[in-house]
Amino acid sequence: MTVYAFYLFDRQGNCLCYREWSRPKLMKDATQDQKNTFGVLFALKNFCKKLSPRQPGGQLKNYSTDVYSLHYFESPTGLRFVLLTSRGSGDLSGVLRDIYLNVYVDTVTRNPLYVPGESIQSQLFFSKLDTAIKALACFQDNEENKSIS
Amino acid sequence: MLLSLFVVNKAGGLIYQQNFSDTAAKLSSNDYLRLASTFHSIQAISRQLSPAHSRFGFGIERIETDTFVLQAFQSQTGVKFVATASPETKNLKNFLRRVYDLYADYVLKNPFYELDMPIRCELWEVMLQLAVEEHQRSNS
Repeated sequence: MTVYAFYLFDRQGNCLCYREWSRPKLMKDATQDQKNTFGVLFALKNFCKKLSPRQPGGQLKNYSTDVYSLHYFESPTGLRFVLLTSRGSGDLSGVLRDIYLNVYVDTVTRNPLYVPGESIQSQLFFSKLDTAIKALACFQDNEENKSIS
Repeated sequence: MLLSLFVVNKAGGLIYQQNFSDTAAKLSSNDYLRLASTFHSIQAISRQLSPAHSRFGFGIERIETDTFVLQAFQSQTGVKFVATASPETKNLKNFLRRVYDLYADYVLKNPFYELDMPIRCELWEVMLQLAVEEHQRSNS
């Protein structure tokens, strides 16, 4: 199992942060990819809300395709945390919630120099995020894959 | 517990929809049509977003939310079978395989059925109901 990439969007759909750990298939255009990701999540959110047997409900947690899983967490203020991993890594939306509570709030919200809506430059945020992701059980194989390829 | 089943043709049009439970979301037929084509396009984009190379490239297979799960199966000809169910439901994949079998047997082999048009076949309804009951039994 592998962790591919992490996205953080604000409520307007601007990508505040993009990190990748491995990406076997290179993307052609990063901004286009971010726009598409946000678009899919935006459409899926309404889709799930409509289909939900109980209202309110139908909050998207993750989806999986034949090659990857996308895990999703949305904060009450509309920040969207997205993590791409390989299939079968379980439900990681709780992990994204922890990243929001312990990493984002600590290093971005409490940073007096941060202007809301700007892309995140804080090195502390990046390093804490890196530690949180590398601690995941499904990250282990990233290193193995590298040594093979 | 199964909630509902959608069958979507290769162009994204809804050709069959059925609710199996009273708890399933009640929507107008226009809403169902819209949801089906939305799902069709979401699947297409989710294929493009893939960070790794895909051998089959079917796009989304399973969506999990806090109140339901959605499982999708796409046949080689592009027909999509989509089932929603309560989160703890097992064997959804097998159920969709079974539905595909029934589709091949009772819809495609029906001489009056036109491809990609809404499904109105009596035998398919009957067999589908049996398959659903069997699945509900195996899950309870």
